[in-house]
Amino acid sequence: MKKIVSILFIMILCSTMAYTDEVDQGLPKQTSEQLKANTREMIRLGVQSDDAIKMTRRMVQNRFQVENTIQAQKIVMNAKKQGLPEEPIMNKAYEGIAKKVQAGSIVQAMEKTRARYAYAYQKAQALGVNKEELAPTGNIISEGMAAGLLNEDVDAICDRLQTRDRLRDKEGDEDGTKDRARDRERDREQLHMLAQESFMTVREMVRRGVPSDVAADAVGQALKNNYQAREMQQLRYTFLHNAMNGDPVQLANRYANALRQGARADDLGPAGGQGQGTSGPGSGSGSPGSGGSDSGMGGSGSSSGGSSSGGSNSGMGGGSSSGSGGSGSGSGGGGRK
Amino acid sequence: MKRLFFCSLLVFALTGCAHHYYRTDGSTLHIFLKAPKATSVYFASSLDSFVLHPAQKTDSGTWVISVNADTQFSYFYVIDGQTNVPECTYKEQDDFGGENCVFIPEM
Repeated sequence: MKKIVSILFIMILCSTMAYTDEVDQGLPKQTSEQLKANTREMIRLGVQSDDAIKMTRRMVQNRFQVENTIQAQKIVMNAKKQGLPEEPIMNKAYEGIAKKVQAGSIVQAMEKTRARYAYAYQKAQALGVNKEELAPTGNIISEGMAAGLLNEDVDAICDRLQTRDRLRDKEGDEDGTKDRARDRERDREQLHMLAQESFMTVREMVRRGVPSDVAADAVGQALKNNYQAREMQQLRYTFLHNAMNGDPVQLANRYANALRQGARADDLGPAGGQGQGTSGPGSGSGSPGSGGSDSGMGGSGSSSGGSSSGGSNSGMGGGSSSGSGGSGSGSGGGGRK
Repeated sequence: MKRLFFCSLLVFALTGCAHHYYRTDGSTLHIFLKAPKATSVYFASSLDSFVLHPAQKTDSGTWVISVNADTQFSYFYVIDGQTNVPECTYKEQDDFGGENCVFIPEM
């Protein structure tokens, strides 16, 4: 009799286990059925099951109210339906949890992140970016916006890029001897590269504390001057290099003025970046007991993000390095994720 | 004498105040934070969903954390339970009213 009871017990246990899925297994016992159902829905929409379970689990563990967790799940599902990446939105939740931000504010920040990506991807799409390039371009724009790039400045750069595109089309039409389909394809590719370089340049400027309108003005002027992708990349390297020795805001303003006068990237000073610390954090003092390859990040108490020296450079370059102007600028592949 | 004093002050200002810097060692990035009075320092980054990692205390009150250096990421510290974003070259807004540091690999 005892044996039969044991066998029956094991059978019931096995059948129960068979009916529990990875969501049941991955979430804490106290998780509500609605949260479990939403987690399954997230997975059905294409969110990686580990990621969907992890987000719900961390919210339950951190005692989010059920309503807040449902909101967060819906935001992720909306992003997925819109073809937006869910990872940065989920990361925003984890960032908020690590910073001990209130659940309601975390949900708001997640929605803000989703809206930012939606805007950025929409702009990338409007530029005629193909499917493969949509995510990289959209991500660059969105990262720029996270750093402080304003919507209207994104619009201004997009307008400038689209104007360039239209002018190119017009030139192509006037030249009837060309293989139009092939040329169009090549032009489109060049435009995508230029768009990415332009938004990377403005993103890095804003990350260095340059106001959105100033950064957009500099890049907009460069586009007006018919800069191609490589020259735009050189402009970025030059800025990053020279911003280590001067005030980035002043430098960006000087660049915008010089570009308004028609300056080429070579005129802006040494690019210096390829391989030696263009991204190197501020010049605050890189010396605290460290070896030669250290880079100081500290700005010795100033709020200018590590620009303790310089600031009074009169030339465009401002950097102390000498030598090549880096007209090639192609090497390094900088900045792309 | 006055000049010497001001020169010393300038040297101190330029070399003695940096409290946040990094060193690259191949593909590894060592990030240093000077916080001599801190009893606990945690590092969180977008590299791994902002999981809090304890930084190791070295001599002279400097804390170090080592991560992969081949991709850009945003990060911040939690010092004695408080979120801390040190002075850094690249920053972004964090959508919570604060900021994060951004690391960009050398180009």
